[in-house]
Amino acid sequence: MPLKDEASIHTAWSSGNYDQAFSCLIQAYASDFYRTAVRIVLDHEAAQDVLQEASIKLWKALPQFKGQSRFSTWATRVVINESLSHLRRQKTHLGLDAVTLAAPSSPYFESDALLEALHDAVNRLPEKQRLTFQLRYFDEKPFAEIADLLGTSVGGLKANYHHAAEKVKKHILALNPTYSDASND
Amino acid sequence: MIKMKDGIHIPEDGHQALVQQMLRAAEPRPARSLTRRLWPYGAVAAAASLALIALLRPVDPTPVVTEDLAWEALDRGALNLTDEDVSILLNDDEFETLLADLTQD
Repeated sequence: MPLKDEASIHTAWSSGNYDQAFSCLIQAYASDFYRTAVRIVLDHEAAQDVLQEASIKLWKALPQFKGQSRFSTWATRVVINESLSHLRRQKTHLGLDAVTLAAPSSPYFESDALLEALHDAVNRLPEKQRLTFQLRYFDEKPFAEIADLLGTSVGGLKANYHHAAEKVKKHILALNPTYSDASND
Repeated sequence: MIKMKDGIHIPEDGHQALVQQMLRAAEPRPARSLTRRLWPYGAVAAAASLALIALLRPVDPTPVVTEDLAWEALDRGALNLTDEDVSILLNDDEFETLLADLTQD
């Protein structure tokens, strides 16, 4: 996370210029928000809907931001919550079995067989493990930030990540044992 | 563009499209949304008012014919009454009065 972006947002926000603070926040992190959303809802259009809803919530909540975390962390938490809500509504509406995409359906997803297998494995994980794995492995976020994002302890997260990584590795190797080198990364 | 481990690579134009989309979604427009919320009610109220006015308004109001107006019409020849019509419409006193008025000038 570029600190200069956080500083720009904070400067505008602390002087009450919420328009500028919001604009800086979106300009700096829109792609990160999209990646987070599309990995959860697995569909480009759905991710765009999620971002629109999240955007409205962020804009309304920005003046009440408490400053207890980075702006990016706070906003990512809003995007994750909005994505999960969207997913639950979709599952309720379509039935649990309807959401079975293995990998994100997005024009920005540059797929290959290993990535497909990786996403397929990740999307089979329980929700908490899935989010932990995505934020840690894909985004390389520190455990402390993931704990802040998901509202859980660092110790619990590390255990979650360990279990998730084991399951992912097992799934990928079951699909194709030649992936053993890649799965060690 | 930095290669991401999840395979989701967003080019600069894609990033800008997302930025614009998010900024647009949050544009404050209370007046427009208020208008949008109220216009169906306004339209229904206007239609109901027009219907009520149409119902209450006399379609073909009957003109009030005063005695003076009737005499003026008769005097100007706008009423074409035969002697027989006049004898049916008027009693003897009224007939005498009419004759007196018509022959006054």
